[in-house]
Amino acid sequence: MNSNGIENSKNKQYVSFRIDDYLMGIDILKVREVNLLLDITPVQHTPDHIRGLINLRGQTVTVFDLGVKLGRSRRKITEQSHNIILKSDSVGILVDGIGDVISVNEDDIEPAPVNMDSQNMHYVENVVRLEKELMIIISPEKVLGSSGQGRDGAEVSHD
Amino acid sequence: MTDTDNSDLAAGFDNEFISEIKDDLELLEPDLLTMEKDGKNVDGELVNHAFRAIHSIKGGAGFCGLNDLGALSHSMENVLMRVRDGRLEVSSEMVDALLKGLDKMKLMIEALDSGEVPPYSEEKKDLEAILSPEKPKAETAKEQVEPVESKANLSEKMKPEVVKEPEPHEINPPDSTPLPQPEKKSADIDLEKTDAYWTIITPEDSIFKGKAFDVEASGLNKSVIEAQFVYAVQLDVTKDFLDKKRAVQDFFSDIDNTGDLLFSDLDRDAGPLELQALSDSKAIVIATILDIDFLSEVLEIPNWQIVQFTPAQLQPTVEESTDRARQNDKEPDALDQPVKEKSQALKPSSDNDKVIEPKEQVQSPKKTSAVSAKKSVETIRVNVELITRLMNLAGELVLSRNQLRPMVERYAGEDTVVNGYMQNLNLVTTEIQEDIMRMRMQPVGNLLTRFERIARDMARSLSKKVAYFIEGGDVELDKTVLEGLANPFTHLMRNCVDHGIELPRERLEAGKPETGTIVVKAFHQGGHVHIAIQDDGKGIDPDSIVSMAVQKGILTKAEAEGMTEKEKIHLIFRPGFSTSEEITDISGRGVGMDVVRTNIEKLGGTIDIDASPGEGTTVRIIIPLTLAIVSALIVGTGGYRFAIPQVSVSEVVFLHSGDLTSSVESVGGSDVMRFRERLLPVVRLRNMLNMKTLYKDSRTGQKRLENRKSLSDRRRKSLESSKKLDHRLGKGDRRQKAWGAVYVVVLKVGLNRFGLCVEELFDNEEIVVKPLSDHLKGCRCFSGATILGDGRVIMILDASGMAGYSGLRFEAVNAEEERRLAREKSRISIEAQTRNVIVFSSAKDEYFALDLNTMARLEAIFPRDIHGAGNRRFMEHNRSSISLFYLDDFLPVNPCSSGEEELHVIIPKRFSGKAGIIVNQIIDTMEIRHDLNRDGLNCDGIDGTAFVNGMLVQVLDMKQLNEKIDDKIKVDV
Repeated sequence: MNSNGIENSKNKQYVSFRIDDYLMGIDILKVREVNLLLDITPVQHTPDHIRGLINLRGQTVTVFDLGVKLGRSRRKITEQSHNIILKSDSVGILVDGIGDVISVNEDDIEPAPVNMDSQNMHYVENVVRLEKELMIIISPEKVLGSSGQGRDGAEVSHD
Repeated sequence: MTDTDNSDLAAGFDNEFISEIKDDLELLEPDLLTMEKDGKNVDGELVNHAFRAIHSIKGGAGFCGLNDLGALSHSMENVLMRVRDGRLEVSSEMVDALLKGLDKMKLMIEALDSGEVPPYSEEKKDLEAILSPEKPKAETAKEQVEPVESKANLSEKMKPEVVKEPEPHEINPPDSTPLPQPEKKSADIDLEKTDAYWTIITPEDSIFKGKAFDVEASGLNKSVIEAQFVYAVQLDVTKDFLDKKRAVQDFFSDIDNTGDLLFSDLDRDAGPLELQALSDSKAIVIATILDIDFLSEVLEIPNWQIVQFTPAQLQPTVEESTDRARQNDKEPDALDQPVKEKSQALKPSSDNDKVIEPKEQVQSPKKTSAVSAKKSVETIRVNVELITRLMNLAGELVLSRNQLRPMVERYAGEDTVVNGYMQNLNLVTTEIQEDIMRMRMQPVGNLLTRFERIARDMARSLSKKVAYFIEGGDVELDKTVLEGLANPFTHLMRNCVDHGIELPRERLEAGKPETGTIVVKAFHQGGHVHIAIQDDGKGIDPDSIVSMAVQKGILTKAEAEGMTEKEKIHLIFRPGFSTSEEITDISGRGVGMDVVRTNIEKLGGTIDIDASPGEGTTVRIIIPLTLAIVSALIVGTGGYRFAIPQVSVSEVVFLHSGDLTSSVESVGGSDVMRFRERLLPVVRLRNMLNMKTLYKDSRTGQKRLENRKSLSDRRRKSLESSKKLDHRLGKGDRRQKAWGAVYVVVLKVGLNRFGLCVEELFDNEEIVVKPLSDHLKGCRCFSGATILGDGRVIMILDASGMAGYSGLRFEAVNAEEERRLAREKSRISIEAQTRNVIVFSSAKDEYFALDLNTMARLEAIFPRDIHGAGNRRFMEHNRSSISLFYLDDFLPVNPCSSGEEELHVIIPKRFSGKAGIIVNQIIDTMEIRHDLNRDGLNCDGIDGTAFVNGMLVQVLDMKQLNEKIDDKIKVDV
């Protein structure tokens, strides 16, 4: 974790996570919690990017498959999989793996490059150049708001 | 008036105040209706209650700067004040005007957002008209509207009232024999320790400059309990009485009508002369519900002369001084008077004894405060969402406890203390859950009282007389359920008044009281709330329902014939049905009961109707206590579980794989099942949910993908596919068994039913319904989700959604069913026309048939037993002779070929013991159809021909044959 982040008011903190090999981040202020409730009840007749419902302490939370949203394949649930529960709307996002909370100096935040493909562009707020790699900042509002669906042929199996 | 003063303060508080105004408006309506019902005998406390409501509306309106609302409420307040003071009697017109004002106020509140103010001058005029018939009163009312008006002017106007004022007491029932009462009264007060006096001290900075008053403890107590305000009022004898030529007695009777006098150093019987002798300043202490401005208006004392005691000041500085009691020996009188008179005002009931009875008087404040008790319980407003969240958390708490329990039980043996803790946790958890559930509950009375208004207004507009009663208004229901009931109840109530209750004249003719009665009863039974709406109107005539239904094409005459009375009445629940001969603006548009039923069913309830012509109708509604918790059947398919609300489940049928194959077939592309003589559309849950189905291969034990699209798809080996199948399957066609056994859950959707095929059936469970988030709103098949005891989320299936999604065409199935029924019917009718015949041959290869029922018996005979006599033949039977004939005697047929072998004689019924027909060989008895072939047949005695088992059979016409035999016998004779 970036230790000098907290004192510096110009820093923003992001919960980092992975979708496939991409490092992504969500503003920590928009995250309620990260959990391992992976017993997801699928809801039929819904778009592919809706993974299903989980029981978050007596509340049902709709889990989105961010992979499908971003035009990638449906996530496979592994030991590293996590749900990021957002503060708004009782919604969770299923990701492949969870990373550190990363503090970023606001100066390092850049707008998304224009050459990203349009579907991905839609959900990307910014990018952050870290030492080793690029972190893509996802806008949860846009993910939840648009009804954009994943690629056709995203494989679906209900078993 | 405070209407405009504080408007600038209002901004931030608006919402809070407006919702309070709304609540007060709700409170006001039932009060007004009860007032009307009680008429002259209206309960004083009720009027006070209404008065308080309108008063706080006025206050709220003033605070929010809603001047128009304030002005209207002020007019209403004036009317109510007159009523409360006994200066006006309650009349229907008055209640009309008040209710109209109330409605307008509601409109005003609703119109707040738009910024427009609905015109209210008419309502105001009506209200003023109520006040005006007795002019002086109207003018005092006006005076209150414009308090600036000169007081001198007013004092003259007060005069007529001076005379009027005592009237209410004199008119009052004969209990007001003044003497015995004070005695009883004081006895009563003794009980309450009259000798205790409390000293209350006015603030230094008031006009009283810290003057102390000794007031009776009991009186003060009562006013504190009833949350009245206590004021000290300075009376300027010159200004307030002499200048205005106001009589002290009038002033005191004003006080008596306003509140309770706790202290006075002015003699209430002081005449004008005595007054003049008095020093200028006198003081009284009064307890009342009025606020200071209002009190000043009522008493006509400038408000700077009135000082309000704060609750803290009312705390007793106990000085038990009997001396003081004696010093103020005037006071008991002063105290008795108002109490006595108040009690009269409160209870001008016909039962005089009660009024005098001291005990009753002690109770009366309690009793009257019971009216307001419900409202005076302290409440706070809580966001419903918060309660829902709490409920979820409580559910989760229960779950956590359940998870913890087995662990604890494991350790319970080692440490017994743990058990105690666990039990405690158990109890607390359960209680928390129950209490949180109760937070959402509201008494049905809240809803039912609203309909009193509807009933009343309708009755008046239809010139009918209706009395409305509520029983069990305190039965509690979930808020959402209650809200959902409002609509259907409005329909029912309208039906009741419009169609049920007859005109007063008709009622009298029918020997019923002129006023119709509608009773709404609510009660608990078996975990449900039952609500019965009962009227004593004309009921429902089943036959007119039927004829109406036939006329509207809802039903055929034939269908109607087999119906019971109840079924006939239930026809009104069919869509598109309305019994009203003419459509009124109130009801009868043909959507009524159907919608009611649908709405009730949406709430998970059921509705039933009972009616006897001439005696009335009872509608029974059974609704679950709460929508949030429903009883559901848990079913499973494809490894997932689903909940189906019990209300939509009609029954569950278990089908063996063999039954399945034989009883499910395809009609118009969808599966149907023959079930209880009917066709039931069947949907397979896993197909509907597009689940990939796995089945266990019976040979290999492997899981494989199931490919069939529908139940009726039996994968019978068709010619093209059989090779492929053989190739894939080896020897046995295991597909016949692939389904295994299934459960068919028969679901109700309105009047239609369909079957839902599931593989697994679990228990019934009480589930907490969680609404679906917006992201999932698209799926019609689910009505919500729930969390099972094991913490797993499962979906709740919605019967009508599923039917819609699967595109079930109930009409098509019904049509098919009708077609089958018709076919069946025609089959039966033909069957009824077949006849049993005996088939025999006379000559070789010539076959005849004869109705069995025309034949008496059959005898065997050998040719040698046939005795000839002339051209006639006889046989002996029971020592009498029977004439015998051959068929060819009458008919153009081949002669009977008789050898030595046995012959038979058919004895027709007609000629039992007299004549018989000799035939060669009896073939059989059998059924033949009635529609014989009569082509080219022109022969008496033969009805027609038919092919039976490849034989051409000539069916004999016995009637004609009988005639021929008759002729023969006669001729012979």
